Amino acid sequence: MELYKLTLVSILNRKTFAIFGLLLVALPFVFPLITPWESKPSLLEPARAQTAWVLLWITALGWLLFQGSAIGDRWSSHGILEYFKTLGHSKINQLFQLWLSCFTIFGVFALITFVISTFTALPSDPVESKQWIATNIQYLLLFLLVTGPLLVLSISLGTRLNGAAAYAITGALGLYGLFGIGQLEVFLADNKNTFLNLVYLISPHYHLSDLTSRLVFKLGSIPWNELAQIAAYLGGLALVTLGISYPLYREGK
Amino acid sequence: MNDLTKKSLWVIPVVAGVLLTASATGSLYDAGNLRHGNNVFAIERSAYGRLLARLSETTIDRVWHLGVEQIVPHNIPGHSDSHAGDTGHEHCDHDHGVCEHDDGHDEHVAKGPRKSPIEATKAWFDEMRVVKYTRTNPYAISERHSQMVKREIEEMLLKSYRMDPTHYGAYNSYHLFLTTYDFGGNDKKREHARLIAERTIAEVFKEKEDPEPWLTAASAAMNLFLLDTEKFTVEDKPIPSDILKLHQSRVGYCLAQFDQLQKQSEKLGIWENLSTERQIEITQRQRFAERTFVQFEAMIARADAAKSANDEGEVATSNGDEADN
Repeated sequence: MELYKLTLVSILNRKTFAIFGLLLVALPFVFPLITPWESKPSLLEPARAQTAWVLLWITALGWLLFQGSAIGDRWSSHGILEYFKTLGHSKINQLFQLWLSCFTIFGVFALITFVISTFTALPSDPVESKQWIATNIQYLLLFLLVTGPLLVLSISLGTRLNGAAAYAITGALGLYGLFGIGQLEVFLADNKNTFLNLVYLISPHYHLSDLTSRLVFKLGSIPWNELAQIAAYLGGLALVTLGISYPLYREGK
Repeated sequence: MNDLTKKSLWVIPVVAGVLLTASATGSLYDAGNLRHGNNVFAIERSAYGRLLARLSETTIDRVWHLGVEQIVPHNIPGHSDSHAGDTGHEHCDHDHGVCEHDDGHDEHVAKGPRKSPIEATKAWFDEMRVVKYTRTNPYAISERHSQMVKREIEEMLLKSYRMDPTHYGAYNSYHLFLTTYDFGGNDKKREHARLIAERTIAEVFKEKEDPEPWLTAASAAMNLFLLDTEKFTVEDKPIPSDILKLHQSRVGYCLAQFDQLQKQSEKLGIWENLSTERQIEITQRQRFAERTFVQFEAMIARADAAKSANDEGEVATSNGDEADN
């Protein structure tokens, strides 16, 4: 696990994670105060959960994918990966260690968000609170199914292209899956074009992992059979992303 | 296992992933769960949506005045009437719920006390900002340009409405825009206005804490009344009392809910959280709604009187006919 340790120490030494960590802890308590909660104090708690999750998404798209791309680029350019290859570390092993080093820190971020969203905005009604906890667990699961594989892709692309290009591609893919499909859907509302409809169907529907509205409007948790379908869908996408990442990964530039 | 086979193993997860995703896509698509809905991170209708709807008031007001009425909006500080040209204050005829300026506010421009250098510099910047927006072109904007501005405003109003359908300003501005022929309103848009009013009412009916949205619902109910009865007004026919009673009960319910929630809000100390200006604004809106509401009684009485007079006339006519026979 030397590559893991080396990468983790490198990320920790750069300290940018600390800024995101601080924002993730502080802003969910500050931002809701700018909303017009004074006439409706019950807005505050859902807004806190909403802020926490939105910040985690921003951290994933802004920090995590950037870290993956930068580390993939840096380590392959500097010959570090070649060196580990000579020590007998296979491609999969290297990729896993790099992924784990980024995800060790990001896992803590996700945990912070989960704790803030679950326990500082817990509804007082016992039925609602039970559903609230279940929704947060479901959200975390789906969120990790999207961000985890995207990180692998960003590392692989980083080793092949340069860091900026790898980040732009994975970031754009993430944004497209979250926002772009919505625009495409509006465009396709009255459009029967087979090709465009096919593009819509094979697009990565990452927005399925966004359960913020279930928290904000207290819609309750997703029925487990439907959750299984969404998890299967995102899990399938994850397998495709991991599969494609493997041939993209290379030890030296 | 030879090297080539080993190198191609990545195809297995890709194929498995494609199969898994494809099978899940089918069931998700059939159940309608693949739909995006365009409300990522639930911003619309959330606390942040409410904030954005409020913040957009100023922008919409500004674009409205600049684009539709071609005058410098009042809410740009330092505005002076000399820039309004011939249009003057005619625009105050409309009540889009966001234009709440009075006519006396410009007096300080002419005869205020002597300003400190800092104040004078600030005023200079304000004046310059007005200069930035003032139209000096002697020709009015073209019809097409005007249409484009109106369309842009409609999009802004819709966006703002979607952010918070229960917001008084957001709802009323959008309704006014849809129903005003000058701004491109037509029969289809009036139907849309009806749907918007009904949606607002439905949205407000979930509200059990904040009294203010109930005034928006009362306003939407009044708008529905006006839309439902305009054909009688156009044809100069009396409005049937059953229609009047239906709308009276709906508007009345909204105002009663407002009263109840406002008392509850005062009791819990939430009402005190609002600034005095906001409290006054809400109270003024409530008074306006109530003044309109009391007209229902008189209209119903008139409709009933007209109906009974009509009935008596018919009875007298039929009696007369029988006597003739």
